[in-house]
Amino acid sequence: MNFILEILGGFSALASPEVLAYMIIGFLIGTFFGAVPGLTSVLAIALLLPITYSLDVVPALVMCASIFMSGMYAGSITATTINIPGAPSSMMTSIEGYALMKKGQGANALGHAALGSMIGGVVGALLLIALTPIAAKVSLLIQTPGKFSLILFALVVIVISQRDAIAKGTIATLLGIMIATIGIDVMQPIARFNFGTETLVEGIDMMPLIIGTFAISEILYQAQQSRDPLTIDANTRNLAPIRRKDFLPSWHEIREIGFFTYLKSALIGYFIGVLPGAGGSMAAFVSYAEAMRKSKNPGEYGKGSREGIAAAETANNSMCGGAFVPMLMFGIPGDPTTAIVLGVLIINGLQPGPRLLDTQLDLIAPMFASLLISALILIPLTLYLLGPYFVKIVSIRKALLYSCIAVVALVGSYVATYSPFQMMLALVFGILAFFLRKQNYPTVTLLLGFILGPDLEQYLRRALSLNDGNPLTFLTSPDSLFFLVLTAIFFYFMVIRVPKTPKI
Amino acid sequence: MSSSSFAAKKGSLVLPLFLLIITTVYLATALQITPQFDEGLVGPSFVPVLASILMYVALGFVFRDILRTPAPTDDAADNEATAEDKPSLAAAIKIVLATAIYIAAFKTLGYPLSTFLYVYALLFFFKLENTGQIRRVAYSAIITAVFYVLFAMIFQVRLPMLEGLLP
Repeated sequence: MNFILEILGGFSALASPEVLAYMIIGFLIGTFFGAVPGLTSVLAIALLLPITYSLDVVPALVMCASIFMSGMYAGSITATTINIPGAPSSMMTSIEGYALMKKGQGANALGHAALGSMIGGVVGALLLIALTPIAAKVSLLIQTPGKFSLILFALVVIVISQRDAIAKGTIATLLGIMIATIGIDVMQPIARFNFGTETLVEGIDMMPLIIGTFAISEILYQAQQSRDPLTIDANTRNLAPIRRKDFLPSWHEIREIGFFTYLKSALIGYFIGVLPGAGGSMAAFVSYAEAMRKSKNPGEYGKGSREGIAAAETANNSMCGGAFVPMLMFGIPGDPTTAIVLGVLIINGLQPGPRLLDTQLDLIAPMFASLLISALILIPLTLYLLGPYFVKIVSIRKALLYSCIAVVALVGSYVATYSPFQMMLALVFGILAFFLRKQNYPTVTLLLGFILGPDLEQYLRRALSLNDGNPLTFLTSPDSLFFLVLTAIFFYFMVIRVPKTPKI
Repeated sequence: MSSSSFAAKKGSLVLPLFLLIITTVYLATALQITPQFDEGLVGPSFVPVLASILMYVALGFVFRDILRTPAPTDDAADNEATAEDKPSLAAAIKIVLATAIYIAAFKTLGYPLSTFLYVYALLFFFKLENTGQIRRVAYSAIITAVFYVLFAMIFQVRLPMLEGLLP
């Protein structure tokens, strides 16, 4: 009962003009970053991270949630209108949406994308609210060896999700773990890897790593591309303009897609979101493939299938709710965005775990409410108000855009400690991430390795010291054994018996 | 193998080699860690040593893949990207240098002057075409002012203001 009241209190917190303003600003920022190719909601939240030092925790989390939701939806805008997915999770939408755009039905495609995102976002947020207390109770059952095995499971899934780049994913993850070992040891009061300098004794802060990995590396990456990512070819420019009255999908089209498709896609998205490292791209891909497999009109896929758009967009927005569960209850981020939200929690002194619901639900509940309201109201409202101007809004010149990002990123790094050392660290990590990215190393796994590494080490050493150094404790403890078996199952299905890619 | 395809392969070996050196330095440092009390096998150096070993194994796979994969031929590479589209590392290097100078001068020159010069340089490196000098100067001033308002006035961040140059 108390939980329900706190959640309702979260909705009433949104009624405060300040919090509401941050939610709307966050939504617009997320829409812009999600829609512009090359920019992502991850980058938006990374740039926001330093600002959270000056914000209260509630507006900061509310803003993060609305950025997350809008960023996931907004990728469909440029995917449909100019055939360039604003975010990787909109890859499937670009196939179907742009095909409809070429037929003069771009507005209708955007309407279906928004409807799918809205349904997915709402279902994901409701499932998050409903299942978080259960997840909290389950998390209380996990003992120290189990916690180690759970984090190991998370890291293995993060690495094997990289499909064609497992070795590179492993390297990036290990690099993150290695960076995290710099500073005071997790169990003993000794400094490691400080190389005789005092500045490294405190360890590496998460913020310069995030800013460097996501902002600085993106600036360097875009600088070396001579072509502007928003170069629109002549054929696209000559397509029929987007009109507001065409946004609303017809009842007949919605019935043809089917309520079950929306629900199934939302559930697929949510549970993929719960998996560490899987993210929106996998949610959209799996849901799209499943919808195509069960479709009455599979021949429409690739030629402008509304069902395909609905499946992909419902799933990637539903993923937002799912990704929060492991982050809030176990401190294991489901995707890069929640990894940075975890940073916001830590900066504000909140520790993830079941106690969060007992003691600080009043701070978390507005974030849940923000996810739901962003999906239910702000997605359709933004489409209606800004839809006809989307292409113009995202057509900002690259030089101006990336200059602004550079200033926010570097000055933001300075904000945390008022020291140029953090700025320099951000640059160093940016250079490292740039070269990793150039050779297709997944930089997201570097961040997740950095976040999960210290806990992995701490639980490993604690579990062994509690059991006289006997490693069999990981097999005799039921919760630990469960996660080890789960790791083996995932490894079997994702690496040994690789799922087939659907042909379009 | 033509000289350019060999160069491409050599280029992709640089990063794993760099990581190999970093890992070796890391491992050597890990082996020198002296624990304050004995934890048995799994002490402060256990995870770093394990991470280093796993890193060597993963790097081994990457080296194997690079050496086994045939480098793209000159013709194929030409077909994939026109000269205009080919990524240029020079622009990224210029931005790294400009950023390093900006960071070094940030406290001394203060936020307004250092940021103005930095933004002006970035606009130049990002090839803000068809734009005159006055416009570039105006853009630099506007961007500097907008983020000054955001950080210093809205979020109350104390930004350095030329005090480094004052006596």
